[in-house]
Amino acid sequence: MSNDASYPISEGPRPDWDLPDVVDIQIRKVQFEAPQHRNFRSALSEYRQAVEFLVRTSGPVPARALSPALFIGDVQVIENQQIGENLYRFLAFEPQRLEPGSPIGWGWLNSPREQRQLTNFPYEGSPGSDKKPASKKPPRRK
Amino acid sequence: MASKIVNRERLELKEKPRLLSPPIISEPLYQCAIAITVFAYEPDAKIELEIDGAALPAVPGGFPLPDGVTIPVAALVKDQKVRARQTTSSAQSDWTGIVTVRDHTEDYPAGPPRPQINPAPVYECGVRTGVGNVLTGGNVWITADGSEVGRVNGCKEQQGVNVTPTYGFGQKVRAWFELCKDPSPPSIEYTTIKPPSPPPAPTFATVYEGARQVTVGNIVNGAKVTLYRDNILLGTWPCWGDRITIDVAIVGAGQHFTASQSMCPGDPTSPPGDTTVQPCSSLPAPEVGPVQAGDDRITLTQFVSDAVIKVFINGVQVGASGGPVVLLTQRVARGDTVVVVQDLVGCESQYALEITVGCVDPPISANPAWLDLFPVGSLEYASGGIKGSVYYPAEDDGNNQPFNQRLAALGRSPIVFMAHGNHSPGDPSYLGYDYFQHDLAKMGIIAVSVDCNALNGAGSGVQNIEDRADLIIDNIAHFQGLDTDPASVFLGHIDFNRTGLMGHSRGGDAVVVVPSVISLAGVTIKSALALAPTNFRFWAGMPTIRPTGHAFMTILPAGDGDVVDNNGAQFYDQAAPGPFKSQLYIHYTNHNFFNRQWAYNDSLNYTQPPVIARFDHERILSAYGCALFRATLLGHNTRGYLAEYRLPAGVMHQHVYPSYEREKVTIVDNHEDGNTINKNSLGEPTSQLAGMSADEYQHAHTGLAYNTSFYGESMGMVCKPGRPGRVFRSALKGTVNLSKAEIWIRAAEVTDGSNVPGGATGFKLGLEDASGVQAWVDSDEVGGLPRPYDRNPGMIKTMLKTLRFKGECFKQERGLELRKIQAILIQCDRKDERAFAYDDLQIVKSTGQEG
Repeated sequence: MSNDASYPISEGPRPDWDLPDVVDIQIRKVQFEAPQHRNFRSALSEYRQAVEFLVRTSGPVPARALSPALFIGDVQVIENQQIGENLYRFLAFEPQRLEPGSPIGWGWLNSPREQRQLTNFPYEGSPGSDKKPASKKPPRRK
Repeated sequence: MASKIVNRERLELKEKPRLLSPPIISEPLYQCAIAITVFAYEPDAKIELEIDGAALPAVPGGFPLPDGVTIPVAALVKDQKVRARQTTSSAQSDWTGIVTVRDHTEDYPAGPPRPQINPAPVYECGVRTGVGNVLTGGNVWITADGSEVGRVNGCKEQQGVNVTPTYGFGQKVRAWFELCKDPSPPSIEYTTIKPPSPPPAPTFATVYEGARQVTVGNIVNGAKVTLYRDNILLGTWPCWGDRITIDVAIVGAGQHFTASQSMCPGDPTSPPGDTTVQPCSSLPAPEVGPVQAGDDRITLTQFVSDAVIKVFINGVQVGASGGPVVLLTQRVARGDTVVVVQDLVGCESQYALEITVGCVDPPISANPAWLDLFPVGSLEYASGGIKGSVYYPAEDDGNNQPFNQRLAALGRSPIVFMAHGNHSPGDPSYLGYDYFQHDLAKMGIIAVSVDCNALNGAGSGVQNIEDRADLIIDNIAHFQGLDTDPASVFLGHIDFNRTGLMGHSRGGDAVVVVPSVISLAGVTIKSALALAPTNFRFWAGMPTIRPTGHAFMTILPAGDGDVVDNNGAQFYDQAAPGPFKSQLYIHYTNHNFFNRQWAYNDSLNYTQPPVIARFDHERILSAYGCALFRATLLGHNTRGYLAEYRLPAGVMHQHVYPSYEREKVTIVDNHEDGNTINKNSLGEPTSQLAGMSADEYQHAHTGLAYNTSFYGESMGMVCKPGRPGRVFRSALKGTVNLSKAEIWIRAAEVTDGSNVPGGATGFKLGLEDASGVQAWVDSDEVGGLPRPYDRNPGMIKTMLKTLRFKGECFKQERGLELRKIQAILIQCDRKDERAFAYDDLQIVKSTGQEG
């Protein structure tokens, strides 16, 4: 019998979980209405207000277990829904923890500082109406 | 156990020629069986059976391998008492313990389990087929295109059936079984295919001088095997496939055996395989399975099929018989030296296996996923956004088959709902657990996998998890509707008071939510399995849900490249045993490979060891998941697999590090009392001796932890690095009898999160009696302290595992009064100056539910 010498077969490719760039963020304070579940009351029902971050990205956020997050300083905002193509609505329920003037970072939930992208959109408080920070070119990704 | 191969001669073993171990009766015995199988006897021994005190004539046993001797008997009757013994030319064994005949419907109320064609597939021209998963002494037969082509009445556990005429091409082949005129469902149907032509050359297991059996391998299912010795034909045998053991006259060193195999007439025969008989001097020592304190038998894993196996404890012979199991005249104790040797006719092995018996070394015992009772039906369901797939016990295999009527006649069946996690909505993630659904269905559990794709890629956070929980509850309600729908397969068949949940990733998070919010009438969640779950509430700053009122289990892949924090550990720490909770931290596994639709190897996101194959991930989920759901939904005795009293066969259990806790134990210290390190949970004082420096810390990824390597959500203890011999003493309330109890403690070597020091470490656990006498057992004698999983720096975790110390193991210390123990001690006795983490120090009395 001939004797083969081969190479191991890869069990699966590495996932591409690179986040898209943030191209725009709009921030405002909004009245929050907790989701109306069919079978139980949401744990978010205690919240009445939230700071909304409408985040437009350069592409879709990859689907994985972890969530993308906005980092207002070191406070991460993870509650989000996709509301349009490359458009995501993030909600922060504890505005008092968000420090005006903090830079807004972008990364996967719990990612350390060095792995976050720094957006060009600082958090400057949450006005009661739409507020768009000064538009700047998004930083180049590393 | 520690073992080594030693020179037998130096041991000066004193043999007892008249010592002969009892054989073993293949259990259980069932009413109506017309044969009894006995195994584990010496080659050529005579086997006697006694039924209700009446001895049957002794029969020659021949060789104990491959499958013992099957002795025809008059049809057995329930409650008859059966025992057996063996006799050789020089000795007679004691009788076996009594085996009482049962009615098979006590164990299999829906009828005998379905037979399995084993090995499959079935080839054109095959002359013999193996059938497994049958009850000893019943009748088994095979049909091809509906016509019977072979039968054995009074079968063995794994029965070969000769087939006449041989199989044609494209025939539909099934195995059938009945006992007491009670038929099982038929086996899976196989369609015969063309055999390999020519068949491959057979192989040989090494043959040693003095042997009287030859094992030929690499055999095609149903082939004819022709064997020559020194070019003289010995004969042709039919074989069900894989291997065949053939009896031959005693062989001499240097003799030459050749074998070939053939299938269809006119097709080429295989090339020959051959072997030369090795001299007696090459006969190795046998190999054995785990041996632990209290064992009354030795199980062999490698030995010569016709050898006599002899076992010695501390130099005294305590067993002699044929493999694969040798019963001993005394139980082994911790610290005993056990020696095992094997002999052939005129050939004593020069080598011996020497074992030092440890306290805990659990046996490998079947696999909870192997229970195979019913054909499996499946179907897809959809009602608006409520959709998924369901597998269920059916009349026959396939789509939309009717529900199994015999099972239905006994009452309603339990149900498990599974939920996948977040992944590309383009992939049908809900199909990824079909193997697990199938395994549950074949044992009588309806297994639903919910399609959650509408929630995938749509967002993240607490709301997304709650949406998933809402969808799972919708699906439960949908099945409640099917249960009352006359047009449904499930009409009247579902027992929602025995509901189980399994969720993966975000689905794992959701199945933690469901029991805390569900209010559907008539639904009782008995168990939930969170596989690599997220914990979005924790990340959102909300309290972690405390799984309560049901059994909780989590599987934590150590190489998870997605949920890198292994958040399931938080749920385990928070869960209340109801009646138990289980955590499996599994080295060399990733996040995705438990789902067949999730192609990416997420572990590659970080520098870490390669993970085990996808099918090995699946086997782990099936084995341990079936153990959970069988225990909680079917009442089966499978909790022992979760508590590590038993290890599942066919699974890479060596990578599984369990934590386990159950109700009704004495908690000595769980460090949750807020009473400082100076008092334990009993309110009794602790003390730190000989330089010990220990304190309570959060075992969590917070600033209040000892360091950043902890990822649970609990308070625990850390013994800081220090010199060898430092001791932590925890007093008990008065004195406690530990003679029939175990001490459980969760323990881990503390890592700094970025490095794994070379070499393992450990500690000693001690008991102190009312007189101050102390006795110690090393952690290495109960399975050892696991090493931290060496993944990417910053993500190396201190992950605790439950270690069990049997009370009886401390008896070795002369003078210790095990019935009057006043304190439990921990001694850090290694010279490596490492820190240790401990939690959940408990006294556990056996209830028989795990052991």
